[in-house]
Formats: sequence, structure tokens, C-alpha cells
Amino acid sequence: MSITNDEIARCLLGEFFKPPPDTTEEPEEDRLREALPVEPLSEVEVHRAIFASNPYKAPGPDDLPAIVWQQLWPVLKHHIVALFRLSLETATIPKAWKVAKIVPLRKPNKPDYTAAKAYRPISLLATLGKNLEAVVAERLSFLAETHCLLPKSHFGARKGRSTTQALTILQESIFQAWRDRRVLSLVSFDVKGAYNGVNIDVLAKRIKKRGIPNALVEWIIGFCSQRKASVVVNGHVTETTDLPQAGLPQGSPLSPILFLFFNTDPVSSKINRDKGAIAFVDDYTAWVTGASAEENTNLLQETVVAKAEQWARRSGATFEADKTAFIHFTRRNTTTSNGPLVVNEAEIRPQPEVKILGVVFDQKLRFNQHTARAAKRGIRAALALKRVKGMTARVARQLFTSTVMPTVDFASPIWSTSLTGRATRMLNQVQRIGTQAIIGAFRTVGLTRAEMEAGRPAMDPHVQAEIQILGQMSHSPRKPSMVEGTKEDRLEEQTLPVTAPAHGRTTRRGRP
Amino acid sequence: MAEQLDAVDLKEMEKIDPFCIPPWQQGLKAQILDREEAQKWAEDSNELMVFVDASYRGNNAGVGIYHSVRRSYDSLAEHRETIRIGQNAGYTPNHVELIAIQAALELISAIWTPDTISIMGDRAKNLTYVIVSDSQAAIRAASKPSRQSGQAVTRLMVNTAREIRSRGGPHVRLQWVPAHAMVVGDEIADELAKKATEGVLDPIPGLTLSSALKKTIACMPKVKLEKLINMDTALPGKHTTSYTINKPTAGQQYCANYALRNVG
Repeated sequence: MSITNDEIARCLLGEFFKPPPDTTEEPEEDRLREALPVEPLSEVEVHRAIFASNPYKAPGPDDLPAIVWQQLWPVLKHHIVALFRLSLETATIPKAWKVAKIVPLRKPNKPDYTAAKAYRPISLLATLGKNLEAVVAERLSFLAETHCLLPKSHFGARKGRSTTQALTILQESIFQAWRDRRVLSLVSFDVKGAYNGVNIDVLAKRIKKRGIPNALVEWIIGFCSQRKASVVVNGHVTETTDLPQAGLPQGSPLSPILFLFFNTDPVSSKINRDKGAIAFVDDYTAWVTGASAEENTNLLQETVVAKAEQWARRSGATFEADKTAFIHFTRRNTTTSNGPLVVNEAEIRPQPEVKILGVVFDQKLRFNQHTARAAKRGIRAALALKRVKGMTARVARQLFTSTVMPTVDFASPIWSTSLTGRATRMLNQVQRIGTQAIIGAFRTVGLTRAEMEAGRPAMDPHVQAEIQILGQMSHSPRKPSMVEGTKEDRLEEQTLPVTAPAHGRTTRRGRP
Repeated sequence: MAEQLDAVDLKEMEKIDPFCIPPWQQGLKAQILDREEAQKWAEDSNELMVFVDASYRGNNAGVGIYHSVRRSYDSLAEHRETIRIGQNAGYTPNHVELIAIQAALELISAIWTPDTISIMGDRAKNLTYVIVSDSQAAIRAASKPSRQSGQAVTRLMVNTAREIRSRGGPHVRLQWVPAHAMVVGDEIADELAKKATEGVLDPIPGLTLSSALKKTIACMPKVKLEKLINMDTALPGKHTTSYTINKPTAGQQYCANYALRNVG
């Protein structure tokens, strides 16, 4: 029995765009602030958006890559700007810009490739439309940053913020809790099918509430509704079909920032000695501190989980049960507990280690598992580099710093504090293979010599991390200085952890 | 090392905003030509030029401005200005170049007051002032303001230029000329700037640039590497490890304190 490509496509679309559950009505609240003024579209921002896009990235249904617009800019600029201006003024978007070409790609290492879950849908959009979306995204981002429309605990998809900062705040909170002789318990949620599950009406209400100008809100509603898609199956492009509940379109530069507005409510919470939260687009992590793990479990259940579930009900989102992580951070075995947390009627037991924003945190914050993983990844990458023959030393070195090192030193300021001798030896193994690949040295050459010849700084995340951290200090989340700070301007007042001087017992490791 | 860090006031760290100017606004107009072309431009052009140069020696920051207007064939109206900014260890030469351009903008703003503009009428609108600097980095920063060190000055520049324009004053453009290439105006500005940093200047409080701090810190692993190079691997490990600088635990505030007290 044979199945036609169209049937496969229908099945995939059905799986990728499931109808979202019903939402309870979002309460009509007063605007938190007056609508902000709109400035007319200028040529500079369109120019910037067009030239910032990657010229040869896969194009959408119209098969025009971004390079076309970049090359034709001198001829077309007035037309493009006029078209964009018209679109923004009338809050309408050309139908052709709302058609996505969806390419399902196989996810690696899945047992069964007949299930739709084993495929990652990649959505390709028309490049010119994406440029307008990028312009709007930049404007939204500007409004959000200058008028403090988003909570400070949001770290993803925002200017001048990074995962490392988010993790630094978490790590510092854990150390602070330990200095206070407390246990820090953390729960981390992942929103299921984040962009597709966004309800447009709810989103529109939420952005309006935060003071986004009406014209822009209208445009965003138009942008999200009446979207269409076609699927590529076995090299065959199927007919375009309507997507009644597409939510935020995947692959649009506007989606991340809109999602931040969508989930501000559960995320906005003060970070202090008792509790805190960090969010990274669809990933939300919250913690509380207390004298014992049981106490914390109850507190989390009553406050964080309740609040998150309420938010999910109101906005029609669901949390992925198997991705919910729960952990107690303590170095005293007596203070931990095994009591479960109930999320979505499923019991979640505390785990010995959880992965938060790509870093494996263990209960005692020793990061042994994480460094082992990082070293393993690095060794695999370095060996792959070594297998490539015939490169000059310069090219090999460039490849090493740009492809191998990032697999190792991700978020190194976080975990390099607790490097043990064994872990350092493992990391040095990466460096050793790398230097062999660069200069073709014998295996017996001393590492320090090889490093020097290969022009590599010593693999010492201690030192590297320090530069990163101090470099980042200036970018740490604060109120921007462009707008004079009035009380009304601050939607939520938050304080970052003010840390005690360096007398904590827990931090004494690794110092001379 | 400790001395270097002590000189930098970590508490007065510069603050970098996510946006320097709103996305719909443009930076200053700028032109960076090839070396030869730029030199030729400087010799041939009869535009209104304001030459600026900066000097940063021994933590002293100073700016020189040279502006000349040809009145007739044999008379030249000149304006020479030496601004002694002050002493701050948290600056970089590039930042002083930015300040120099801002000083030139303020000079233009002072020339084209609303009164002069009302006397001159529409003629002011059609004028273009060219601020000539020998720092490409500063010109690039002013033409494309972003999240970078020295952002506050760049913002001030864009706003000053807009303000001059909005009251009906002249256009402003930035132009690069090569340094020490016998461009007369640039040489004079250079001399004026050097004069500005002679002797002892008053310290100016506040503002440590993140770029200045990064530069200080970035020297550290190199120091370690140099020591290692001087030593053979045959030496016992304790000699080499003694140069390791310990990383302070996470946390921003904490870092600053730690670096001030313990690194070195």
C-alpha cells in the first residue's frame, strides 16, 4: 500500500499545528500605561534590516534570497520603503508574505522515523516580508528597553543580555542561600509548542496593556492571522492550506519578542533572598529558598506552580511534563527530600541534576557532569578537526577557535569556578588534540610548548571566565538611561541580588 | 596588575544601554576614503572644515580644535582651541577622539546660535561643516551608533547635530584623513591636542569605560603566557601555577569588590 505525498503532508501539518486548548477569557484590565507615540518609518531602519539579513539563507515560497534585495536596493529603495509604510499605516500585510514553506527535517537519533514527532518543522518565509517584520521587531525591542515594558528577569531575545548573565544570577542566588544556611529549590518549565500555542487575541490584549501603540497592535494582529502553509515532502511541494490557529509564525524575526510580551505575567517576579525567576523565551525557571527542602516544595507548589498553571489556563498554553525539571540545591545530605511536586496532575520528583539553559546543574554545584560533557563534546569536535587533512596552520587554528572552542566554553564563567584537577585534565585533552591538528605536532610534545607553537592561549577557563564576567558587568540588566526614570515608567520594580562580601564558606574553594 | 586595576574605578563603570539612539534615527553622516584619496581631498577641498584631534597620555585627556575660514585671497580667519579635559584612568584614546568630535559639534553649535541663523537666513541651511578627524574608529562609531563603549558621547553627538539642524543651522559631516600625512589642519590640531595634555591635569570623577577595563584585564592572560614562555615545561608546576589569577565567584557586585581587593 502506498501513501501519497499529500497525505503525508496533511498528517504532518495536523501534528505540527494542533488546535490549542480553550482559553478562559483574559480579564479586561486597565492599560498599565498610556499608548506610546509612533514615529514614521524611516529609510535607515529598512536599510539596516535588509543588509543585516544573511544574503544566501534559504528563501521562502517566492524563491528570492535576501541577496536580491541587497543588490537591488539602490533601484528599489523608494518602492520598498513606500510599500512598508503603506503596510504599517493600513495595518495590512500582503497575502504572499503570510505563506510559509514548511520543510520537515529529521531529528537525529530517533528510534522511529514514521512518527511526526521525529521531524523538526523548518518554516521558510518570504524574505521581503521578513525585513518588514525585522523593522517592527527592532521598534518593539526599542520601546520595550527604553520604557521598561518587559520584566528584568527576561534574558532571551533581548539586546545586551545573555544566558551567562541569567545563570550568573541563579548561581549567585544559590551561593547567597547557602551563606544564609538555606536550601534553594528550583523548578523549570518548558512551554509546549511555544509559538504555535499563542492565542492572538490574548497576545493583542497583553501588548496593548503594556503601551504598544494601537496602530502597531493592529498590524501585529493582521500579521498573525490568516496564515497559510505548504509542506515539502520527498522533494514535492504540496498545495497551500489554511492554518486557522497558527499562533506566532515560526521563522519570523518578530516572533521571539512577541512571545516575551505573551509570557511577562508569570515571569515578572522580584529577585531577592527568598525567591527569584529567570526566563529565556519559552523556558521559565523559578526558585524559592527556605530552611528545608520539604518547606520549599510546599512553597513552590503554592506559589510558583499555582501561578504558572493559572497563566497557562488563561493563555491556552501547556507545559511539557517530561521537560519540567525540579531540584533542591544543598550540600548537606540531611536537608534534601524526595517529596514530589504536582504539575498538570503529574508528579515530578526532585532530580539529582537538571539542565538549565544548556548547563547541567547538580545539587552540590560541583559541575562535574557538565565539565565532563563539555570535554566530551570538545574532544569529539577536535578529533573531527584533526581528521581534516591539508589545511594550513592558520586555517586549522581559526577552525579550532570558531568551531571546537564554543562547544567547550559555553557559559564557562558559571562552571569554571569549581574545576577539579580531573576536569582540567579532560579539558586539556581537547587542547592537546587541537594543537596537534593545528601544527601537526607529535603526541609526546609537551602541551605548553604545543600551545605556544599553535598560538593558543592556555586552556584555562579560570582566566577566560574572568574577562568575560568583568566585560559583562557593564551590560548587566539595569534601567536604561535614555528615558528619565519616573515612577510611572517602571512597571515592576526589581532588585538584583546584592551579594555579600567574599566571606562565604562555599566560595572559598579554588582560591589560594 | 593590582596597580592597574586600582587605577580603574570599578564602581564608576560605564553603563551601556541596549539602544544608543532610536532605530528610526540615523547616525552622523560620514565619509571614509582611501588613504590617497583622503589626502587629496584634504588638499583640494574648499569645504568648511573643522579639524579635531585628541591626545591621551599618562591618563591625561585633551582635545585640539582648528577651524579656519578663508575671508578673501590673503586673509584667513582662524580659530584655535585647546581643551584640557582632565585626568581619568578609565578612558581610552578612542574615547577621547569621540570627545574631540563632540567638542567640534559644540563649537559649531556656538557659532550658529539662533541669532546668527536669523541674520543669515536660508544661507545657514545650505552650509555643510566637515569635521575632520584622523580616527576611523571614532567616525565609524558616530555614523553607526550601537551597543558599544563610549555610547553616551556618541548619543550626545547625534543629538547635538540634530539640534543644530532643527534650529535651521548647517549640515554636519565627518571625514577621515590619515594622521601624520602632512595635512596642515590635522597637524595643527594634533599640536593643539598635545599641548592640552602637558603637565598635570585636574582629575575628573566618574565614568570608567568598559573598553578600558577590558583592555586592562585582557593583558592578564598574556602576562601569564609570557611567563610560561620564559620558563621551560621541565620546571616544577608550582612555579607556573603561581601566575594563575583566580577567578572570583559569580555575581557582578562581588566581582568588582573582589577584583579591587584581591587580584594581583
